[in-house]
Amino acid sequence: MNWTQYSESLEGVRRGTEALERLGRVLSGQLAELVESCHEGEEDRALVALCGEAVAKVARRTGWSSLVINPGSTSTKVAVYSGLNLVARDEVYLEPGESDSVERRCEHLLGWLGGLRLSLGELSGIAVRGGFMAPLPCGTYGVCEQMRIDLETAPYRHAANLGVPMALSLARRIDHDIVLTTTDPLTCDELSLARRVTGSPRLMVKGSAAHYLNMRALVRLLGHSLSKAPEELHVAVCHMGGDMSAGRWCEGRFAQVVKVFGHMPSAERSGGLPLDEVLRLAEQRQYTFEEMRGDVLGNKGGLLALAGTTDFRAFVELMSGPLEEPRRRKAEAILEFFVNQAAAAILELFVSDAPLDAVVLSGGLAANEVFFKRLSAKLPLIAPLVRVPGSVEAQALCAGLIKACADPLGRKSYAQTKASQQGQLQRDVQILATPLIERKTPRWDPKAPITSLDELLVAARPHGAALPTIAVCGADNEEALLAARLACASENRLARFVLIGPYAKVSQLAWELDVPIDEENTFILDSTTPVAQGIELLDAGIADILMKGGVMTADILGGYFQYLKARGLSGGRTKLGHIGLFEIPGRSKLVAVSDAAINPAPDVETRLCLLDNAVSAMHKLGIARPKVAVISSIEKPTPKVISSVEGREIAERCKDREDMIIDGPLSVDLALSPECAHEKGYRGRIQGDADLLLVPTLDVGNAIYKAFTVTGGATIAGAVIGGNRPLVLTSRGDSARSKLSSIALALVLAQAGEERKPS
Amino acid sequence: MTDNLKADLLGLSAIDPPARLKGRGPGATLEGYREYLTSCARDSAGLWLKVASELRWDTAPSGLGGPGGWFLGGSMNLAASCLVGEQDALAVLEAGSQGVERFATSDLRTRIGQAVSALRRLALAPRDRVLVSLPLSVDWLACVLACAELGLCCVPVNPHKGAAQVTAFAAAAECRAVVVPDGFEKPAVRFALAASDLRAEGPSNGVGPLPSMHPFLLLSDSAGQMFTIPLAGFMVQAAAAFEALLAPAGEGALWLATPGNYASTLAIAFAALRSERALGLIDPAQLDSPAALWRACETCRPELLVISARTAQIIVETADTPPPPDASLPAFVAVEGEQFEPRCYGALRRIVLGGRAHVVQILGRPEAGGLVAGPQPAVTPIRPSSVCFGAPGLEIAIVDHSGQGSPAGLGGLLALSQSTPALAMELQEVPPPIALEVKARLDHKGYLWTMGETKVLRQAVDLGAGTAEIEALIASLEDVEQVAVVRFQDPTGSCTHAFVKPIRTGQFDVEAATLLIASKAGVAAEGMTFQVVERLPYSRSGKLLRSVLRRVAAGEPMGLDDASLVTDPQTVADLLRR
Repeated sequence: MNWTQYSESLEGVRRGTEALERLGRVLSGQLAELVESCHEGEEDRALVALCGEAVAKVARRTGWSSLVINPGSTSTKVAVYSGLNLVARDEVYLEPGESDSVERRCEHLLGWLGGLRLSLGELSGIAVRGGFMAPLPCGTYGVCEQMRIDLETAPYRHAANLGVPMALSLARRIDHDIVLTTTDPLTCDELSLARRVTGSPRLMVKGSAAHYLNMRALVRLLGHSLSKAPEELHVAVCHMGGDMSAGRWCEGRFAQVVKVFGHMPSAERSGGLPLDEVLRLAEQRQYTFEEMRGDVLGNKGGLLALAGTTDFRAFVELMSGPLEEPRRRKAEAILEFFVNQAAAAILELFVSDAPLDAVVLSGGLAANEVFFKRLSAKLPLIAPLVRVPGSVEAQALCAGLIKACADPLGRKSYAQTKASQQGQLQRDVQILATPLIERKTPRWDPKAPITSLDELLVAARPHGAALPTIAVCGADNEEALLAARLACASENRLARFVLIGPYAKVSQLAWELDVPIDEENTFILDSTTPVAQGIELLDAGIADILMKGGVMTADILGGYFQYLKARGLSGGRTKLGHIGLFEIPGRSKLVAVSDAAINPAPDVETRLCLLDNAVSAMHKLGIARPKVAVISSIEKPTPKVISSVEGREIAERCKDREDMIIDGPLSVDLALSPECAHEKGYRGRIQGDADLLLVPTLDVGNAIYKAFTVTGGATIAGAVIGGNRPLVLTSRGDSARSKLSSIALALVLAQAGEERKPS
Repeated sequence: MTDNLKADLLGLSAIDPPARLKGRGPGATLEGYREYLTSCARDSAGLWLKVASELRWDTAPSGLGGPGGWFLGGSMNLAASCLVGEQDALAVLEAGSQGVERFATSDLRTRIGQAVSALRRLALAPRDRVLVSLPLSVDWLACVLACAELGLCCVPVNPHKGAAQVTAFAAAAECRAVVVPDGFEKPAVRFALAASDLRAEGPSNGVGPLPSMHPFLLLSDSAGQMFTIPLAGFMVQAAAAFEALLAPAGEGALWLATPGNYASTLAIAFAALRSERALGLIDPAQLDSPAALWRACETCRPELLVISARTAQIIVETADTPPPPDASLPAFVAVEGEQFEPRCYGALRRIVLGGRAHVVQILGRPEAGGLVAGPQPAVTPIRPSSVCFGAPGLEIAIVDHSGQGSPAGLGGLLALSQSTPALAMELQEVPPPIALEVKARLDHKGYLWTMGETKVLRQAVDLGAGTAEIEALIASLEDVEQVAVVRFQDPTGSCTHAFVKPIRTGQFDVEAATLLIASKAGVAAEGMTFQVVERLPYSRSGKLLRSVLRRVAAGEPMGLDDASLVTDPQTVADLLRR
């Protein structure tokens, strides 16, 4: 084939795209008729289409009153329907400077209703936009208290997280039963297994954080328009509003999504960033974890950071006016960036086995002519482009509510679906964790110091020896059971667990959390005195280590102390203390802190005991001569600052020891930052390279602990040391990795005198 | 540390059966018993046919058939099939306040005939449902068997429900009649009999043998889900389970002290009678303390006693001293029901029974038609809180919510891997695995650990059936144009009132609506009232004014604001006038 023949054929194909364009315009027109603004008092055609004829008939007979609530960042979009008729629609704003809360928004909403002479008592139901609860398949769910509880620990902050609490708050003010629903919340996740795989086995793609509500409604409206069942359509949908996301609808679900977070940029979020550059800047401490979080997940990135505004329309209008260089070039580059990102997201959705029936664009940017023209020019036309300005979220929420009233069985149970979805995700995790080819080369040198929590986990493995036994005191505790589950996972198996507590509760919780009780590696021991029972197991040599579950810290420590006393292991230089081992992003080795949890105000002698414990622990981690910084706020001792005087005394008394390198008093910056040490002209032996921070009081230790974890993004492994066995203390806020690492730390420390073996 | 101490500390010590039971039952050793169970599961058809051949049929089945159609062509008279002993042989013992009353086979037949006569007078037709709310007694047994004689479907209910609950349940289950204890407030049902009414004289012929899959029992679980149990299938499975699980425990009197609405109670009762064991009946309400248990044992001298887990927990609560040395205790106590904590198990065995009785747990489920799992007491080591192995012919599995198998040790829902003859008729055609809505875990050694039921319902019952759901139900009726349902509080409690505008004036079937609501919304719509109206009150913006309707229903005075909202004030006046 020569060029002439080729280009003629290509031209022929391109002429065919005009037909696709025409199809796209026709479909756009059809959908526009459905979704165009409905006047108050009229039947909303989009709502009728989304309900379906049978349900619409019931709704007309019952005249259900529905309130629809869709919280945004500074306002709440509300609508009231009577049957299928729109009664009123508005956007209720917070006052400038007013703090945002569920109750404030409810008060404003009630004020709005009152202004329209509508009362909550007239309502049959409330439909709210759902935020980031547990991952769920799409559908309509009855709002329940568990949703509100799960939203308290939502992985992402979003205004939609307020929807469910608002519904519950309003329902409490009504003296009769009312139906509360949420439909296709942001947390939906219907991805297939193949779409979850990433290049790292640590990470799986989650499907949450896309505009499922609007996208799914548009697919159904498209199906209605074409008289085709939505399940038989194959459609790409891209929503371009304040946030942007896209999804490919296939076989009745969104099997592929391009998410809001970490993918498509938006008014306030950066979207995906080049990871190699991110890592480089992070290593140089020029891009902190908090900054990353703000750009990617928060409201610090995107158009706001690039152009100084969150208003796309204003930005595009700026470009249409006179603009001098270099501002014009910058504006042009930014606009092209957003257009390219949107086009790339849509093109990503073309990757599938079957051709797409249509590409649907919605949201404010779909209505913007400049943006739309540029975007459509970048998309190879192999499917009609359908444009639906705005969104149909209110109608989708209302339709979900009406269907739930008409058919209660169609309303999904959050608790059940959540459990089922968790089970499915767990199975996906297990499949992806299945080893394929056994790695024979050891990846870790047992003689080298442990410098990361990953190495700690490897060191904690039994390596052919019998599994140690950990007794969990108060195992009717979710955190403890989750930690046990992690430690029992086949690839990570670190220990056997005896779960001590009321049998029924522990059994039930283990059932809910999918903790296998196989009585080979996990046992339940029925007991109403879990601490005493745990001590008994320890004393009998059945348990090697105790772990805190739902019991009070003071109780388990007290019990453990009594055990030590009875064995003659307490008193003198035996002192229980806490060691926290921190993996801080950007540091090449772990940093230990002692004591941040047990001894509130230890004197010098006690601190020397704690130092001995901590140094002994560091030795077991392969650090032959740990660098110990005795922390104070100043380096020059002064009687006004007791910690500085004590720090000097401790350093003096230990300076000749061969098992450590110690200096003090030393401030935290000199202990951990070589640059600060250099800047301040510090000449001591630590030079910002400390392995262990010995803190003066629990307050100081705790503040450092929280600073590291909360703002520094550190992961901690913690244990109580000083007795003949370490004790595992995990707390509610600890991440899964932290819990597992704490168990690993205790196991490594308990392997006293044993050589670590290569994997 | 020795293994025994370790096992003891972990509370999982396997308690071996007493030596004197050795050699009884279908397996002399644990391995033998496991092989027997495996062979039953592998050839469950063979098992059912074998057991069926040992029952008394009026017409023997020509073949097994399958789900929904077991025991082809077979027909059975249940009473005749159960009462196989000699006329004057001891059949039933009833423990009452006056001691133990003894009933021979002939006596029981007489009582059944009297009950048949009483029920016949109600002009009930075969397959009509009769609610039986009686304590465990001869009256109870006679009533249930009389229902079978007349082809009625018996609906046993816990006798401690109040009249209002019985009425609501009867409505939900569409019962034509109810039978309640003497002195009980008669429920507001068309036909209500007291226990003493069951001893009527008169014609006592039944309708004759019934086909194998005749709906014999309607049982419910604690979540209110109802299951119809077929006649012959129930009998065959009960007999198979009884032979393996309980018969080897002894040859003396078997005493039941479990609620009469338990599937296991009925299964054990009929199977025990069929095996010509004397069957003892104690109202479980009598066993409320260790002393009460010892007294009952002294009076009844059971060799085998079956109690519920709830009764066991009540007894154990006040257990602090062992029984007197000369106390007559059963050799074998079976605890039926939900999870029984190891601690309570230990207290029952060591304290209440003085270590002198072998205590095991068994599990029955209404939808599985009787006994589901238990030990083979002659050979199976007991693990406190577990229910040992599945009953013969029942292949147990643990599945998750999507029906996939859970690995051993990981929890899920108890399920049957294959259909059985006694499976509820609603589940007969369900492809396996058939989940039983019981949270459970199966360990590597085959022991089944349960932890209660899931409250999953397949109907709208108790799913918070609110006014909107009820409106949807009424709106689904063909003659309804518009409907609005309101709830309000009055001194009697929560009331539900429906305003219905029919398509054609005055033409609305209240009874049909009532039945529909009762069947779908259950007790949530108890005491509901209807008002047929010509129009409903709307505001100018077209909004239905439910607050006005609520005031009308509650008989409250109309506020000025309410009245002013209504487009047509005459509407309210019309509503009030009615």
